[in-house]
Amino acid sequence: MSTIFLSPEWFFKYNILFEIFFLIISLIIATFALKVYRTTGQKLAKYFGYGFLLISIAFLTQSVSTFFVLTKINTQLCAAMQASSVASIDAAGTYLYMGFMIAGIVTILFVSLKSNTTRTLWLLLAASLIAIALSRNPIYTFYLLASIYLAFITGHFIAYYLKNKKIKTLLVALAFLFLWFGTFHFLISVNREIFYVIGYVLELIAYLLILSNWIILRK
Amino acid sequence: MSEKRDRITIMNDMLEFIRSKGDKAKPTQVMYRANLSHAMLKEYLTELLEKQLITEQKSKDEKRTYSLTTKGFEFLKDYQQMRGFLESYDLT
Repeated sequence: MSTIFLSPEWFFKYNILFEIFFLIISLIIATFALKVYRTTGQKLAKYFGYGFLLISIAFLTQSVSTFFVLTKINTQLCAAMQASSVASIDAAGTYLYMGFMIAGIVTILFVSLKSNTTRTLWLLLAASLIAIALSRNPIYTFYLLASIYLAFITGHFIAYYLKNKKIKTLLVALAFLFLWFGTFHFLISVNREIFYVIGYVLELIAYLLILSNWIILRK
Repeated sequence: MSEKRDRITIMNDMLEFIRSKGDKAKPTQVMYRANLSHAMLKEYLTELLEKQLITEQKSKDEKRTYSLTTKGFEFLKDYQQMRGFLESYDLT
């Protein structure tokens, strides 16, 4: 059970850079959504903000655990006895990452479903976390569930764009489309290192689109 | 759309109108433009004054006019961004 060991060795340091970039963008979106909620009282903005906040926490846990594992690897003192502790740090980081990330995606899914009751959110969240925790292959289950949820979210934003054809709605639809591609890509990247890198690049495109939309809104 | 959001939209309309009138508008003009009853106008003006988004000026013949404060202009600027944000992510 590990994410870092899915990654090619040469990509280790870039992993952290990508994660920090994703962390910053998702934190910006979360902060602004929560500011909008405070001013307008719009509940969807509140849940959307919480969704991105959970995603940013997921990236934070992953980058911290990746950094910790990498520094252990680089010390050359990582003897066989220490290898198990490195593996457990990575496993803990991966579980935290999956928990926070799926919670964030589920919250955004809840927003896109426009459900009137928060029971929908709790049901989706409980079912997802239990499915991942009890799975024989938690990483695979995580990416499978994340792909399904992102497919729904992407469908929602594409339909919204078709109804409301503007640059900003197009950027959001494309961003979620790339996020979905990226997540789906991780699903097939197990044992294929280069696909793992491509997954990150697709996510990078998604976050750049989210950033572009943010810049357009700020002008 | 929640009740509070509608409230914010009305406040935005009132502030926009004051700005469009050269940053000096009479209460009756604001009332008609924002399509409010007299009681509601009073309530909203009180809120805008409390939030320091507008200031009140009285002429010698006791006629009142309203102007935007720096905070009021900032609200209008942020409001466009906030509305843009809500629209882009279908959060309305």
